[in-house]
Amino acid sequence: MSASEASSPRAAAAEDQQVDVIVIGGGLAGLAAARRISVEGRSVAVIAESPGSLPYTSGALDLLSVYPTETKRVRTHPWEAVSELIEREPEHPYGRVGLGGVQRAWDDFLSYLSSGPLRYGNRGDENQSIVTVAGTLKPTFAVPATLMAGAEAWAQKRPTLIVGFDGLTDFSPEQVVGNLRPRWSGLRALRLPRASLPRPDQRLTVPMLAAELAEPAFRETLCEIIEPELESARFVGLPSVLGFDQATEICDDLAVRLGVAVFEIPLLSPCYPGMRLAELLKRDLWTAGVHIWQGAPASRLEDDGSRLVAAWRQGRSKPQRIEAAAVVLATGRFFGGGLEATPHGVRECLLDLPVDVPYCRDDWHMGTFLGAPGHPINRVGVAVDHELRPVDRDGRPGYHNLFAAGALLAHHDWVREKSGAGISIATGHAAAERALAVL
Amino acid sequence: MRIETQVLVIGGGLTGAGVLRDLALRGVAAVLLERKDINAGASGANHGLLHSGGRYVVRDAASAEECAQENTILKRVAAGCIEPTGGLFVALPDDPDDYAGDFLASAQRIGLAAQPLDLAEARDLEPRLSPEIHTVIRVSDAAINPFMATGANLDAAVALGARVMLHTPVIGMKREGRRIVRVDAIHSRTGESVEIVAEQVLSAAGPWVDRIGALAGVDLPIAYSKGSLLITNSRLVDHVINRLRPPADADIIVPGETVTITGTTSVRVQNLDHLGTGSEEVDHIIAGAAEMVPAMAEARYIRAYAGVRPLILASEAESDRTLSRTFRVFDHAAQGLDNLTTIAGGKLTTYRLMAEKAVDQVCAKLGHSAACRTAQEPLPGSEEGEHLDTARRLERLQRVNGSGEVLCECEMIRRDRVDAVVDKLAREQHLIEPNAIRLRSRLGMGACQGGFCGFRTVGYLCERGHLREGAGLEMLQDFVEKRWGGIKPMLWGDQLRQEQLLEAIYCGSLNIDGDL
Repeated sequence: MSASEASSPRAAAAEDQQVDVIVIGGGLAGLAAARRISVEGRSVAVIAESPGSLPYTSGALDLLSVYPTETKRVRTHPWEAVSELIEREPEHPYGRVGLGGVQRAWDDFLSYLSSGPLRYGNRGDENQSIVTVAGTLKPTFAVPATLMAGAEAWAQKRPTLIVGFDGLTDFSPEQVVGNLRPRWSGLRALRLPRASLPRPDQRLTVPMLAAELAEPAFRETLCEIIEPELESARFVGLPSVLGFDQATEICDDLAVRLGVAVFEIPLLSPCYPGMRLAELLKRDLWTAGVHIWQGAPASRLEDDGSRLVAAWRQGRSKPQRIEAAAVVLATGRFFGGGLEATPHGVRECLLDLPVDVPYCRDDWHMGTFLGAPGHPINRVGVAVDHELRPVDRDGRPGYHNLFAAGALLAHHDWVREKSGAGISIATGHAAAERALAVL
Repeated sequence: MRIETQVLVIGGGLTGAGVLRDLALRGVAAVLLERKDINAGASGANHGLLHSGGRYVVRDAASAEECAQENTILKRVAAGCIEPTGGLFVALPDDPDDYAGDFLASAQRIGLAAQPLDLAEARDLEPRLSPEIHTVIRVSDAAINPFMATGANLDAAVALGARVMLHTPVIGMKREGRRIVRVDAIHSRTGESVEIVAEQVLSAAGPWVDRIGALAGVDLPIAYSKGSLLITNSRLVDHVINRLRPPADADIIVPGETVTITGTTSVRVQNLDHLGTGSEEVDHIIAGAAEMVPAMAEARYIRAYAGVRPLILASEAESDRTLSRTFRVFDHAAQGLDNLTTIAGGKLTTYRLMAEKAVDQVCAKLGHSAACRTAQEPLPGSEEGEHLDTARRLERLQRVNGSGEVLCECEMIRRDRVDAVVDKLAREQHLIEPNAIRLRSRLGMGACQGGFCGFRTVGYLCERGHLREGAGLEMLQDFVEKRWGGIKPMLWGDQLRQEQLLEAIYCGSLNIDGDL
């Protein structure tokens, strides 16, 4: 298949294929693994049923913000916390990868993202807190350029104006400001009336606003409305609607026009910062000639007893067989579709890998939703050895060329640890390296 | 605060609300105290089933007759709260052979409409019925929205001059001789003390009547029977489906507007404040429902909840299922107390009759002779006799929509509806919070169980300036925590997937579980 066809995968026919590595799962772990393999000059195909969970994330990349989860201790220095965690929890995905492996993965991935169009950045070895749409602060490690000024504004408690749009149901500047003001007195809310925005008779949506903001003329109009309201504000926060493709430039442009720093506050869904990251990763993979098969999941893996030899998926007209020398399994948890829960237990969906789950369903969750240390069901997943190979209940790997990565792994609670991106990046990289080693 | 009135009503469930309106219609001044919000007890934790009487017809003719009469009356005076779905009693091969015959004979004896259907006709009406079903009898069961019913009764009473005080638990009573001379309450949000001096006290506190009785120094023979219910995310049947056998567990399915409600169980409990539903109970209810309607086995369940039936204890030997489900008005004069009346037992379907009988007794004590009018006077919203019609409601909403004003997508609740509820809460000096809005509008009662619209509603309340600084987050935390108890037992399959997404958003992205 020529490079031009590969870069427009939607048009590609689902022909049988032979690659070095198949990555199953199109979330952050799968895409990070595919990138790592592709960078080494090996051929890789990604089978992604759905767009993955990235579009639901804020685009900020967590390493480890809370540890231990029992005490909900918020960590300023995440690497210190990772070392502690590895010491205490060798079965945790970070423990399996090891400190050096986690660091290598992050260095590689962050240098890629920071030099790219989203200009990711971190504050040295420290976590930073970003402003959320609920008016809370979320400690995280690396953020795209459009989120950076928000963390800075909070860190310095600078006078800041939060701007919302009347009719945009899921963003209430009053909510952001109302919740944070007791600790951040220089915060003010501005709600732009629907009539001051284009097409006032229509329902205001995120895509509509993003399309308008991609136009310099609208940005000019918007800044003319905001400018007189700035007063002492040195920062302006907006919902994450600063275009889709050119967000960094649009954010910079608004900052120049207003003469203040501008940042985005990630909306819940659709969340453009998360979607931009997913889109960037996929686009770069396509450009590198990686096939990303979307729309239908891997339906079956074929083996020769000790090794996996191919993956099957349902193409538009016929089943497609993709042959490979190694497989990275990064299908996610329940939301991603890697695990499925019935009233009587949990199964891994593709290979029926063993999954240990509390025997009684009443013990899957805690009595409180938000309490510590987190729900036992969240630690359920696929157990692996140090090579990230899924193991049976006796600790023995079933296939020598199968490696698991991402949220699917057992023994972590990324939601409570705020370690989701970190686990995906670290185990995605590590699984890719292990896969490369068996080629 | 000190309030003087003729009658103090205790309990803001449907019975208390019915009592308050009945008193108001008879021209008696009254105040209602509720320790929490409307329908906080059994009135908010039931099937929403307006019985035809069929369920009790074989074993408990008195209850059946009461139900049959009230079914007819309420379909008229509370039309706007009722969807006259009709009910089907269905028999499976394991059910006793002679029960259908007894059922029809008993129904005829008390004049309850019951019509055997041929199976083809029954399947035509209700295609999801199990192919195993061999006998079907049609009755006039219906679905009732108990939140609307309580709201309508309270609105009517308030319009006639009655007063409603929510979140105001009774904490003490002062007795002098044979009379309660003062009732002490406290407003739980503001901490303000409330002293009520009333000529008569009427307790409609549901399973808490014995506690109220104890404050007044009288004993009440009440047993607590917990019943658990489950809700699916969609409407799977259009009729109330009952098992054609003696009443047991897990044998009723009710279409409740956009959802299906099924249950129940009957478990004796001691502690009324911590009613959980465990996985064993959940599985038991689903298995029972699926025997009648197999699709109930694969349905997506969104919530479990439990209510307590206050049963009047006649003798310890009886099982809770055979105890009469009729009600009783207690006059405590024999126990040396002249101005307390307690109404207990009964069921949602007979709330109006219960209120009538209790108010009759209170009026007799007051020497007030006005007759009850609740069987004739329609409730607000029911004047035209138009029944609750979910399809029509949703269709109407769809037509007026398009402005992006919907806050709750599952139940199609728009901002203007929330505005109306908020205005009412403000007038009643009630705390403005998502749960109070939910009880009055169905907001958050759909598939996401408030997961998405709860956040949005808090944002909207902030926008409208209803919350003080810093209160929004606390309210959001409180809201997600309160919904959790009902959601936790139902987490598998797609519902678990959705809840994992919500947890990822609330904890992963928003950090509302964090040390803030």
